[in-house]
Amino acid sequence: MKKQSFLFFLLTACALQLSAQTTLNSSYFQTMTARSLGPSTMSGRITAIEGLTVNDQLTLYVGTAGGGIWKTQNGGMSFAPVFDKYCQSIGALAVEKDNAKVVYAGTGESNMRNTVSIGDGIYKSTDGGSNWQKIGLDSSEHISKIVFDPTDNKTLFVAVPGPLWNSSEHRGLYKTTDAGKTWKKILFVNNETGCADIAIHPTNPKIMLASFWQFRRQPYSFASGGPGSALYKTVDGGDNWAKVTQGMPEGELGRIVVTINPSKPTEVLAIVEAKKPGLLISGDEGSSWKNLAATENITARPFYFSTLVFDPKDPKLVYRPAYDFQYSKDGGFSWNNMLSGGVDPHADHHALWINPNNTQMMYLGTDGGVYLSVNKGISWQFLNNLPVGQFYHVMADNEKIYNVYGGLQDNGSWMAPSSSAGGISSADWMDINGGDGFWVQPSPLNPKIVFAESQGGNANRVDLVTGNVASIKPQKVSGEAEHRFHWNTPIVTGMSKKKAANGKAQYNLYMANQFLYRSTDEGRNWQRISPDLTTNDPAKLKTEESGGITGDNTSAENHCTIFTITQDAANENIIWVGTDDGNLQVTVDGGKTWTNKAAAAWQAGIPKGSWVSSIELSKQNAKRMYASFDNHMYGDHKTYLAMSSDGGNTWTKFNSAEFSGFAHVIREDLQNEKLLFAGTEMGLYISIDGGGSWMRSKYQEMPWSNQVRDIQIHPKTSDLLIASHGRGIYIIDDLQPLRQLVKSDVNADVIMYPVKDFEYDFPPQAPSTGANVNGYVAGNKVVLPTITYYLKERNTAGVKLEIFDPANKKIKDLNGTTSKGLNKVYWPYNINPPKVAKGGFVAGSSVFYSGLVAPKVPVGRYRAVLTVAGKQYEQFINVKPNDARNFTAKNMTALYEQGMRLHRLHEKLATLVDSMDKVIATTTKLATKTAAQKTLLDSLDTMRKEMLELNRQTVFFDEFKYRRRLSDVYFEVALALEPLSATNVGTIELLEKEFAVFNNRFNGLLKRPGATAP
Amino acid sequence: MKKVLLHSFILMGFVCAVFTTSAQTADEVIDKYLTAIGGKDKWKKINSLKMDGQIEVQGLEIPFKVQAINLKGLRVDAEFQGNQIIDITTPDKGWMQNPMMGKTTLQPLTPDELSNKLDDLDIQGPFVDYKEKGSIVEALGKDEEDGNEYFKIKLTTKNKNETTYYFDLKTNLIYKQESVTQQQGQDVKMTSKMLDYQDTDFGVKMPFKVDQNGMMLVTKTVSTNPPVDEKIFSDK
Repeated sequence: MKKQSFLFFLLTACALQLSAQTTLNSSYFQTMTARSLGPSTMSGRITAIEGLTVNDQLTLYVGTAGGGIWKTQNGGMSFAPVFDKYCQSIGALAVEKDNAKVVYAGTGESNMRNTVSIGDGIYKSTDGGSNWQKIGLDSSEHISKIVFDPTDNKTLFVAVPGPLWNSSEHRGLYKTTDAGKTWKKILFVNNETGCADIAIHPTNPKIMLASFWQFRRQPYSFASGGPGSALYKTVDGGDNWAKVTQGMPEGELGRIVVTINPSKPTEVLAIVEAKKPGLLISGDEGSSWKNLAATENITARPFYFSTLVFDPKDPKLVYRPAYDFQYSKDGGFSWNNMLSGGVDPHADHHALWINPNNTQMMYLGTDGGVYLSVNKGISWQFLNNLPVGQFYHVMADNEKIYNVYGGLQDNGSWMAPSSSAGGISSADWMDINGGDGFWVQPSPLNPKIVFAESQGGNANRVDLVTGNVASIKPQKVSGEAEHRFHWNTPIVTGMSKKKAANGKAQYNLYMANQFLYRSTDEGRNWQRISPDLTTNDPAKLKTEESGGITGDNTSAENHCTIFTITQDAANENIIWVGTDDGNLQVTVDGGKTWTNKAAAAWQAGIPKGSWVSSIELSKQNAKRMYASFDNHMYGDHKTYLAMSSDGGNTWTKFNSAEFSGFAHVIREDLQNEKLLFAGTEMGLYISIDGGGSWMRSKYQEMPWSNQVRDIQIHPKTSDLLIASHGRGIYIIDDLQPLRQLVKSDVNADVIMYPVKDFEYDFPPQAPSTGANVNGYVAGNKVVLPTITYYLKERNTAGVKLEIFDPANKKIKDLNGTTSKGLNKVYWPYNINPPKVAKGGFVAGSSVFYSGLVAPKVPVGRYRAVLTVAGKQYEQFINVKPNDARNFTAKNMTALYEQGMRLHRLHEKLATLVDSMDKVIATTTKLATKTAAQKTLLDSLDTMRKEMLELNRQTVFFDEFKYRRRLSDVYFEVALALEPLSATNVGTIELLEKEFAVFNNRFNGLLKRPGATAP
Repeated sequence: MKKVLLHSFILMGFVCAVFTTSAQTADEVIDKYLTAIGGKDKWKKINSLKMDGQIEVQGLEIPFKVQAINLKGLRVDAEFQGNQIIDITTPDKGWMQNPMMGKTTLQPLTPDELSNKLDDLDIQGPFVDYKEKGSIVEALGKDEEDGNEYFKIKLTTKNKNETTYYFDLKTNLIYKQESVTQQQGQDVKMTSKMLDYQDTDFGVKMPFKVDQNGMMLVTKTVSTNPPVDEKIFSDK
């Protein structure tokens, strides 16, 4: 009893301590937002498209495989994400028939490929996607269809294929009659067979057809079909169902697609996976069936292609979006796939929405984005604005403006600059390799050489200068077992201390199948440096048998392969390798001998045999390492992350209530060992205490359930690079503030952090890609001195920031942000803008902008003073020259001085005009005016007209008076990156002289009789 | 600039209330809120308002003045670099002047623009007697914002304007409101965070700062039930 109490006390104490450590969440660094780089030029897998026109306004919702839901109200000319707080894998969408604001979203895609993600139920919005509520089916994992009862908006049916990797009682066909408040399972076959499709009679909704599908994946194969698969029919709204057999193919069935002809509902089409697959037609509402002469284009790859759509008005017109786009104009008897003009839609189609108000207009969802046709599919255009690509990995080179690299599911390998003139547009992305893309590695020594691959280890060396592409895949040699390359074969580089024969520096390039290979000559020659490092378990070498009823062997199910390789950065003889069948192997002698350390990780609670998805070696401590493990292919989606402090001999598993989704990657910060990042199938996680506690990234402007496949930290810029499997590449610029936060006493009310020295710099200004091809455009990295501070609580009274120059004169006021936690304020290294003379309409002119811009400061040591709740904090900012870009101290001083001459002129002019206005006002008010006073008014009026643009009506018809001419030069100099040249600088002197003349004139007028001083 | 400016006025702190439907929880939350801001009886005694303040954005300070008579008229005047910006709403007409948008004189609002603004005429706040006003409410459950949990209530007015309010259950005050308006058929989401709640001389509580995507609307003085000349609510 006593013991128990003591234990309880200990546990309570631990819990208390833990909660004290975990008070921070990602809202405390919401100022560190991610830039979403895209691309949109290559998009990602689209799973559902639904739309509705109300009052001539078309609203479309697009569901994606890993990028959530996007909405457009302009026919797809632009999209906005509307589901960023929730699971990003979308299986099905449905929109209420007369209200585009009511949307149902079933999470968990049902295109059951190897990398398909899972969902966590069905959601509903009643306000067009601004707010969502989860309304049930939490354990469904995959939802393939949601259909309304056409006569009742409150009755819906949901097809749930259910979990892919394990048995489940949650499969089946569900129904709600209260718009989603409650659900009833109305048809269930068994724990292995779920509901794949539903079709509902358009005028008599008591008649429905539902297809049930037995399907299961294992790590090394999949099986589509089995005794559970069948088509069912009800005629009483789902109370009773009968299995349909008449006319169905012989033997066990697989996935069945079924669709009722909306214009002629007695007619139904179905595509049935079977040993002898077929396209079937029924003339009696689905009770009996006959074979049509389908080709394999209609029936191929049934587990992946499940779309068959009738034209809403034409009973003879049917579309089969599948591997390519097939259409039939005779109700399914004959098919064509001819396109004319436009672009070929990306292969692999999963969604088609036909506008019922204009059936020429169709939206097609493919593995590579959304395409629009306005002529019933004869030609297509690509909608270049959906950045939903599914990256597997991200890498970067070391260029000054570095490039990012990565491979996309089904969509090749790509690179883009991390900043570009006008922002990173879709046209900044370059396609560097075909097929499905995975690893892309730039050479660490030659930025023009890149290694990229397609599925199954088909790797190339791409020379970005010559444009030559050469295969580098390690080939089988005599006596070797058949090679097994993973779908996502690792290509990894590691620094080498050895020199090449010619004395030049070299690096190690690694690739692997079941063996590990090393090359020191850019993949021309490979040295095998390991035996088979996998379990080589014959029971798991079944990719040849994969597919079930329909064979399917694309290397996606290759198993017992090496998945991850990590070479120690300091010692190239230490190499770690992780396999997809659970081995964690290390060599400390460059590959001569290997030791499997997996069992040590299993002892820490990692499930035996878990796929080793990443290995991270600390750059700060030679003994410390981390690994992520993935057991989802055995139906276990939990997050497994572990750390070892003794070189992998013993492990500690990280635990957190925040975790969800199986783990892809873990990284330790390059500078702060307490700062860790982990990516899972359901989010980005951050630890600021070395893994003791974890928080989900929610406030960094990425989806909360971002599918994070890879994370890198750029060694030069400290940028965090994130490969999202559904939202492209993200960059969180410069982790420095977060590193500072990690070291801070978060109980302090205010902390102002040291400001990083700033070297004069600007984002690229030209050349930029043309606006017509921009597509989705990402913002550039902000290149400005950055002041960061921490506030324990949100400040509502205001936070002031002031900048003082080296002579201690205040030159700039900045609005401090007031968020709790980290705040980040950029100083555009300029002074306050000048006061600009009033009078006339100035919007959109250089006069208007003169009041917003200001000269940049010269090189020097500036002081930033932060005032919070009456207390002041200060830090210095060193503004330094950047001779390499011609921002020399001399040039910047000259530029500043020129700017200041013009700035002073603006302020003097404003003062002069104020004075004149006062005299005019005073004199005008006089009840009786002398002749001299009248003349004075006339003279002042004349002067005003010479100085100010008082007759300006629009930006297109401006006057060029003194103020405008001053403003033009001032605006130019304030924005300039170099000073006015010797031949141009005279313009300032001219303006100064002209001002002196005005000033003297005014002073002269004041001396006249009857004039009153302002 | 104009778009931001005018919307900001509209969304200023008049967050009282309106409701209808079921949602017992929603009504509880609303009742507590009304108590927290001074009680609905007090708000129902507000017939006119004058407010002065400034918009602070990027170091700029743009002074504004709001004048309103409950359900009759709302007028906002602001000045930016010598340019007059005016926004007038009445139950059947509205006008806007904003040289930054090319409207150098008062010009009539489109029916859509007016419809989006009509509810701002209710200076007693949308949640006071919301049912009687023909509004309905829907509880949208709890949601997380800025690391905290809030209770969301969607209010739809008889003018079909929908706004989602985030109630802080610790203070019973509204932390944030989001409304989606239609411009040229496109949804445009406006978000305001209510900060710095203060008691006015009249004894009601209002947010004296409203953060609209980094643009801060700062109220400096509030005058309750002052005389307001109805003539200012016209383009004459």
